[in-house]
Amino acid sequence: MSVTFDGEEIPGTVISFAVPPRELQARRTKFFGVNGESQITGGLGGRTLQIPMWLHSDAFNTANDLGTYIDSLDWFIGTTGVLDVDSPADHPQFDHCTFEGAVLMPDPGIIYDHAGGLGGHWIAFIVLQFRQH
Amino acid sequence: MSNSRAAPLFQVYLNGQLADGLRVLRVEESVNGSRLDFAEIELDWNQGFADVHDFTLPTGDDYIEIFRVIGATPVPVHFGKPTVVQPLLGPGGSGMRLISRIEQFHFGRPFDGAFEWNPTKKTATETGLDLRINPEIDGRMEGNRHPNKKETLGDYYYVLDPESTRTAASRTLQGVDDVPEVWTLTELIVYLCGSLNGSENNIRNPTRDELALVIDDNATPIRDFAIRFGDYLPTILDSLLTPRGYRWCVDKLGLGDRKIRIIRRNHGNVVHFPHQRSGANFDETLTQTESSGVRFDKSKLANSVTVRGHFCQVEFTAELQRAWPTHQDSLTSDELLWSEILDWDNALSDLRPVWRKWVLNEAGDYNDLRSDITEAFDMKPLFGDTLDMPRRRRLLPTLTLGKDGAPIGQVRGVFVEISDPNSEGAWIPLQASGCQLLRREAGIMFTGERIPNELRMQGEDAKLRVTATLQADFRVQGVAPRRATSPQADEAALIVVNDRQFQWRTVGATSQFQSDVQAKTRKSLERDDRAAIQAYAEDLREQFDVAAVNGQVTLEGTDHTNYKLGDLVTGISGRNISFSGSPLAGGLQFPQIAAIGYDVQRQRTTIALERPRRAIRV
Repeated sequence: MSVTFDGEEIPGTVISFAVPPRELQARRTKFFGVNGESQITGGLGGRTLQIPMWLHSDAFNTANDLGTYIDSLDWFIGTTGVLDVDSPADHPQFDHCTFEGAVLMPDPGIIYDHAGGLGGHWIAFIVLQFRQH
Repeated sequence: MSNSRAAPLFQVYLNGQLADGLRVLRVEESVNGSRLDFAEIELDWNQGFADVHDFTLPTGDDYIEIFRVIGATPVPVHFGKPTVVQPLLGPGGSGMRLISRIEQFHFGRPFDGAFEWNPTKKTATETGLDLRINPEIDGRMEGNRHPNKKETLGDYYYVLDPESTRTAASRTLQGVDDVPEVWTLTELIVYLCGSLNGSENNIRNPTRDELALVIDDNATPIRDFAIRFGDYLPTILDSLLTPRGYRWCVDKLGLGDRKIRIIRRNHGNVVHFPHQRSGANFDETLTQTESSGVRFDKSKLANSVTVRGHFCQVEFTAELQRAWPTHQDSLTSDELLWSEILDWDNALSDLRPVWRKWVLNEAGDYNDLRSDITEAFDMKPLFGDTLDMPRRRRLLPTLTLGKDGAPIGQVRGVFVEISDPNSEGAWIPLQASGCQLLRREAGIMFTGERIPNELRMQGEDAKLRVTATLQADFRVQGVAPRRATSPQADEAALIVVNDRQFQWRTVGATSQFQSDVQAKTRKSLERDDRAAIQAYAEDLREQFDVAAVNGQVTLEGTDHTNYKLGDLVTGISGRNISFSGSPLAGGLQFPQIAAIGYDVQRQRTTIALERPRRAIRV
């Protein structure tokens, strides 16, 4: 179960994550002395999606391989495309997303999958950040 | 009742087509031409335009229209052309902004001369002459509108110079029966709009029917109004309408349709701004006023008005007195040669007045010089008891006119006659040359080499009389005193001198031409503006006895549809804040909407209010 963004697969397993609502554009006015407030809405804005996942693949034979791959994700920062998350939630794809980068979480960082539950190669826990417009 | 509503959509049309990639930031419309309508627009980032490269100034004839979509109804709010383009480049990013505006040259061409009908070429000609509407000629306003010749495109009357219609023959040549008509405000607006914006490429002109609903021609005479070369229609309309208490604006009526509309002071739809009283529960239909900066200023009003016109003038006929002692009557013509007595150092210089200087003696300068001169000229038959100050005056041209339209007098407009030697009591017009008017007193002086023989030969029977005009020390005036309804408790007096517009000139009972003038067999410059100046004083008081009410009100949101330029705003309802500048007098003494601005980003509508006045002198 992985992440595919703009046609490119990021190999690994997605952990459950929250999908926040889109932001509401609103102007609220409180008129002095009058109870209540007025609201004028201006439609929906964007939202930030943070996708936590274990990054793993048969190609990550060394820690360096994995580290190099994580660094290569920087090339996609700023790219806008369709985000498809293969997860138990089976959420529809997210259109109009811009990749804002991958955060390598310090705990546990890049480690070896001794248990073999994720393929028995080098793995890392990362959070992919996207902005959906 | 929901307190939440969606912001209206502002749609931009470029050259008549919906342009999704343009986003409106601000729109503003105003009355008059000093600040023409504009809109600020930027290219929408989300449409994929994210950077500026390869920019050159656009030179096409693009035009922009903006509509607000309220509910399902698009309401037009702007027309303009993108005349200001700003490519943005900076640390924060890049993009493109443009200002869409109505410019002066979108109202046709500038004024470049009057359109006159040429009767010999049978066509209209744009002359290079200055154009003054209803010009003042020899102290009298004359119309210069062609009575019957019109231009098809624009449907306006041509100009006809009064100097082209002085005689019946010239009028026949011009194809008119009478002198030119006086321009009314309505016809002048039609002329200006039709001759300058006749093609209506961008904005349509108002029709006569539309003008008739707004303009009061009787209350707004046009007098000697100058149109400057090079001025565009907005500038000319401003100078024409604003001093007369009118404004104008461009109404956006639909896609591709804009029209000039004239706005009249104290006329229009009556509207208000809503804001509930403290303690009420918010209702979006009853509270929309975010802030008010309206100010009342009663320091600049005038509640007691005196208008003074020109000094009163009366035409009269009277005999002149001999300005030399009796014992010099016997001197002969040879003894009184001008060349011999003219020299200041000459011992004969005291003889200069003899048989030459004839005076009215209005100041009593010549009392007792002769036995028959015992008192100053009696002004009472001319001016009544009002004028009782003997002082030197000057003889002015007659008010009675000759066939050529000029004062009938042959000596700089003064009619001089001598006694008829063949008929006692009769008079004949002076034929002698060398007759001049005195400059510092009422009288004449013969400066020819020889004294006039037709006078000298009559000896003691010789008489000389003049028909001329004298000017009084008092002016025609109108007085409008303070009323109890004035918002200013103190008397704030305004005194205005407007001698060009108001005059009182009469051919008096002593004038030999009075009967002809009254029978209308002779034309004259008689004029009685006493009623007009009184009405004017009262009108000025009506306008100026009101506090100035100006300022800006901000409404929440940009979806208000019940306000338009020229509307009269009574105040803030709910809170019961009245905008009347004269609450005791009543009537529609409210400010009018002078500008409306929509700030789309901040979701605010700002409305500027002003209370227009006509100018004191027009």
